[in-house]
Amino acid sequence: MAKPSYAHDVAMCGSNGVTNEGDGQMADRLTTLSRRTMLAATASAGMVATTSMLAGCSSDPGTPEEPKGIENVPVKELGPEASDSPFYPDDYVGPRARDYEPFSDGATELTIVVPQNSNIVGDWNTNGFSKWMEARTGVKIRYQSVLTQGADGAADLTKINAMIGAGELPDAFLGVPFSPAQISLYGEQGLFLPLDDLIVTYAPELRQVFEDDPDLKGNLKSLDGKTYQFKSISDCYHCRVSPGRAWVHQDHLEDVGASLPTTTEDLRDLLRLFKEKDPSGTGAMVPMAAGVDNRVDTYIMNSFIQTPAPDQNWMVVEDGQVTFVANTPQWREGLRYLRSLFDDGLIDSGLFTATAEEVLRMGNQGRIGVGRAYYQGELADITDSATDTWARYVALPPVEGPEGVRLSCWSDNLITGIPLLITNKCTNPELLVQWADYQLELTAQCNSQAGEKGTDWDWADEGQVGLTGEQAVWWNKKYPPDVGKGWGQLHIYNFSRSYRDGIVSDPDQPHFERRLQEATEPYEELRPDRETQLPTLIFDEVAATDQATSEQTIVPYVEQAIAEFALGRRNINDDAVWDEYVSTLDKMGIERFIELYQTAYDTTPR
Amino acid sequence: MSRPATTTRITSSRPGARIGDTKIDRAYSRVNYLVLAVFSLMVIYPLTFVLSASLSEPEALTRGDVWLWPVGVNLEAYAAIFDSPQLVRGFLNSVGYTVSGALLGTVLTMLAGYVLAREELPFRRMLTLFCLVPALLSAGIIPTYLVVYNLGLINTPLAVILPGAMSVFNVLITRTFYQMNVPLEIHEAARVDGANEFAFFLRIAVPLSKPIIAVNLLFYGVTQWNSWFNAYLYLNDQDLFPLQLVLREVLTQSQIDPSQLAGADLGELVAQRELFDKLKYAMIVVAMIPPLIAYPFVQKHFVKGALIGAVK
Repeated sequence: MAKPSYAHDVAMCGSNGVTNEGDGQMADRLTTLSRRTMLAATASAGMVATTSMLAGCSSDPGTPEEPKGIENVPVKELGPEASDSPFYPDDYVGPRARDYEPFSDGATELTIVVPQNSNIVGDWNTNGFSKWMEARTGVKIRYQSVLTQGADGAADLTKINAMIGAGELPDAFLGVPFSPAQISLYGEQGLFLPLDDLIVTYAPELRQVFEDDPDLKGNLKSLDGKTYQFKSISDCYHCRVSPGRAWVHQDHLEDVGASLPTTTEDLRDLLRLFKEKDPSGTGAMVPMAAGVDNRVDTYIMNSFIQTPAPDQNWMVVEDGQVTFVANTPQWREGLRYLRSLFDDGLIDSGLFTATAEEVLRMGNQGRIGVGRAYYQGELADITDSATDTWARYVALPPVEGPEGVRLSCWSDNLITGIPLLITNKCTNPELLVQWADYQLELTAQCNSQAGEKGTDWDWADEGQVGLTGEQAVWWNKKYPPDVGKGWGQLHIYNFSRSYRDGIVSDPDQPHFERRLQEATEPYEELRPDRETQLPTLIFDEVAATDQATSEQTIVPYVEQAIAEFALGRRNINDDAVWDEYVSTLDKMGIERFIELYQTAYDTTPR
Repeated sequence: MSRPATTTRITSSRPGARIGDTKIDRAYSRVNYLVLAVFSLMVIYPLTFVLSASLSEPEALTRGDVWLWPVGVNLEAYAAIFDSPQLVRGFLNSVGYTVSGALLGTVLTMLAGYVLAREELPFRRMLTLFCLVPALLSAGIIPTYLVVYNLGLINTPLAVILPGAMSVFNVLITRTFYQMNVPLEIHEAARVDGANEFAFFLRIAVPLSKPIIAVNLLFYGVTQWNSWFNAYLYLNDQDLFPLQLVLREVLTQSQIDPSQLAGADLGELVAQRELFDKLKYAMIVVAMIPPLIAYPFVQKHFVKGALIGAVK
């Protein structure tokens, strides 16, 4: 393809990179990366990787060709089991310790941009795991660290965008939080190289993960059906319901002589007991706590209608149709229930407006009865002692509503970690693919996570048990390792369920993750069907802008309405007021918003 | 009955009584003091709280026990800061950037402001306008980055000091200052005495402009001390980072991303939170100290200079 038509292609498929994450700040910043700068970026970066540009920009997922691998290169296979291997439990599925040989002479030095991290990694170029990887693979890498998070913890790609704009491209980005929409867009524009064929030839470990977890293959794909990212996955059991889990203070529960509630009316009685008997003895008991960061609707509404995690924006799937739940009659019933709690004096405005700090302070004072929180640490400071307040919180399973609805805010979506993205400046992408693949091996994974084998972590002895009571695989001698020994979670990892369960856990003093698992089990039984859950979606660039804009008006409106209806500032029992709420959503373009999700649902590769 | 009343009247209308001590004036003073006291409290309270918090134990902080005075006084946080090579280096870097940024900015501003104040300068209005345009319309991040990149300044201390070294706002203040305080007549007198342009500037204009020098030094110094964005954008080497950027990174990493919460992370989580709770307030105090020390020295010039410059 000639250069002019390439430019045409770029112009056709790219204007601005906009996130689909609804992060207004980020969207604002990214719009500065306009089509023109994008062109300048790719042009000044040199027309090195012409092959990738031939890809053009067809967004048609139609019939994606099966990647065939690189011609005339023998397919790399999994290495032999390492002589220094752990004992695996019988049904172990996940990374295994294997022997691999260095595959590069280190003649070419590659540059990778990584997130700055002084708590764990320290200086990337002198880090212990960096050295270990160099010895293991032979690949010489120069790391350039960039701060990629804002002070609020959200992704901040200002500097990355400036670098791309200036054509100051590295060979790859590792762990830079590009959104799926950006990866898709930059991939189609030729900034990132497609890795499908390279994976078939050079990535035996990743191919094994594809086999173990069939969801991953589709998840890595962009809208055009190609794979631009080499990505980590984490099969985190307790994360699946964390955005909708509630906790109850066990001692308070016993003090008021109650048992775990099973219906919404039981819950009301429990809150009333908390209020009247004040088991905290402070005179300022908070029967139920939630807040801006931990919304209460993801828990309570699931007793009336299926309500997903906050990032799903109240969207669920019914027979392949994306539907919005926050304007349904069942939703109204849920609001009525909240209102009745308010009328009984059991909740106040703090349930909707408390900040994480305020909730933590109340919790540390022992004043919280029921708390909606991601984990116990948001209700009380986590300490080493299992007798402190944080350890007194146990999961409060979902309660059954008057119509018999009893669901959990469960998500079966793949939980992925950081990506490796190889740019069109890289002349030997096969080295980086293989380099990333080596990180998926178990020893490498443990070294990055926990530091040095023998001093910081080691294989479990035969007979030691893991979280589920089976043979354990590994344990941490010293955690976290000293700064500069590992990369923490900034490597390419495969935290399969077996791997996570494989950490040594003393049955008498269970590991923290075991507590979280126990808090998740009652929720799993009540999870909605997988087909009804909204999968991870990629919006195309136009839709991503629209989605972000609509999200900024609709989400705050619904959130505000929940609080106002619950606190009696709007009368939930007045049909006119309710109709006004529904019609305002219509005016805000709820139909179009749902349509965007439907299109993304239909086009995202799976 | 009537006597005392008469006496009072006489007393109050005696010619020697202080003027302006009427009821309304007293009420005015009272309101004035009240408003000022409220303002002072609004300024002093956060400072006191931060100082107390930095000296308190972390547990007391998260329990919400600290509201004015420290609870469980200890200096651990400060010890931790001085143990951290990163923070100490950041502090020293910041001092370097601040001193050089303040000096360079002040010199450039004095030169530009003085020249723009001289009425015989050809195209004076156009030049002023020329300065104003980029001040009002900024080119944006990527073009600026390209300029810095192509000048080869990326990852050098100059990238922190040079972009935005001179503020047009300060130039305008300085220009007005010279217009008001160094009139044409002095210039003519100096010419008669044989001073050339340079001699006039160095020996007459500069000595006359101590207040505006103080204002500029303070403005540029504080701006540079508080800034992190240039460093964030243009520096890669952590050894060059100013304190504010180091603080920002610590702040960023104290934010726990719940989706990254794995069992293996508990230790990390606890360690991070403890570190953060311990360091946060102490770092704010450390970052606050230099401007607090510098301010009293320039304060007497500051009020005068900023005010004169502000009047057109």
